[in-house]
Amino acid sequence: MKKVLIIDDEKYFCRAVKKVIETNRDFMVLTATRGDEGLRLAQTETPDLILLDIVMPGIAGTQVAEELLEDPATATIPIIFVTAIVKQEEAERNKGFLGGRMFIAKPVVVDELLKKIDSLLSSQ
Amino acid sequence: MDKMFIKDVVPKEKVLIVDDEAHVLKLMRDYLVSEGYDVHTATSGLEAIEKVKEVTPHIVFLDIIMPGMGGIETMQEIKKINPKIWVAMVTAVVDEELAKRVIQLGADDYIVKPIDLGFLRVYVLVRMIQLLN
Repeated sequence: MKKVLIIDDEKYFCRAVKKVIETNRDFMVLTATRGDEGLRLAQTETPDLILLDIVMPGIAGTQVAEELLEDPATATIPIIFVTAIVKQEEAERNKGFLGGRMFIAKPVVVDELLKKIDSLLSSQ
Repeated sequence: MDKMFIKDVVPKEKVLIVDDEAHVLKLMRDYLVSEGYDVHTATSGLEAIEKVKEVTPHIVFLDIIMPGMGGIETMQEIKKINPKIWVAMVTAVVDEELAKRVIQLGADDYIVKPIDLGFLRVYVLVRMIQLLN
């Protein structure tokens, strides 16, 4: 079973996205509401995909991504950045990519989220 | 087709806290908001009934002893409006007879103040799983 890890300090977002993914796909979804907790889960559970909030108190999402890349055990896990900073139109215009990274804008559109997850997991 | 956002598919779970003590309301409200719930408050039984009609909460924390319409009467009115709403009666008194009585009259639980926030987090999380799955 594929594993998806959500790292987001917004607890409702973690619960809601977990429910949406688990309802629509046969995946196991893990959640972390802090960057350090997310890093630990990524190292111990080696998920197939990570949804990562950029702006979080404590360790920011960008730093989490850097630490994931530095660790050979987690370096190849695909990451979708989730953020309210990028506007939906902006993300769509760039086909979901900004600076070579895949982004999804908040508020998250369900179909868009599932499509992005499918596209990354089907290529593995 | 209109875009469906996460919040449309999985709306925030709703909690109503009813207590005439402002500091209890604030403490519980702030904590549950930080846990990502849609939290509403009322300071009297009558206001609680209006809020129940307005927002249909999943869980109500209801103080038993309040001026005016008391907690037990308020609970019974809430259950008449919607028996599926989980009503936890809250009191500062550990009283087995009172606990039995409120459960017999239709309440779903009896909780004693002060409420530990760690307990509150797990309580709401587990009840929401029971109520929504």
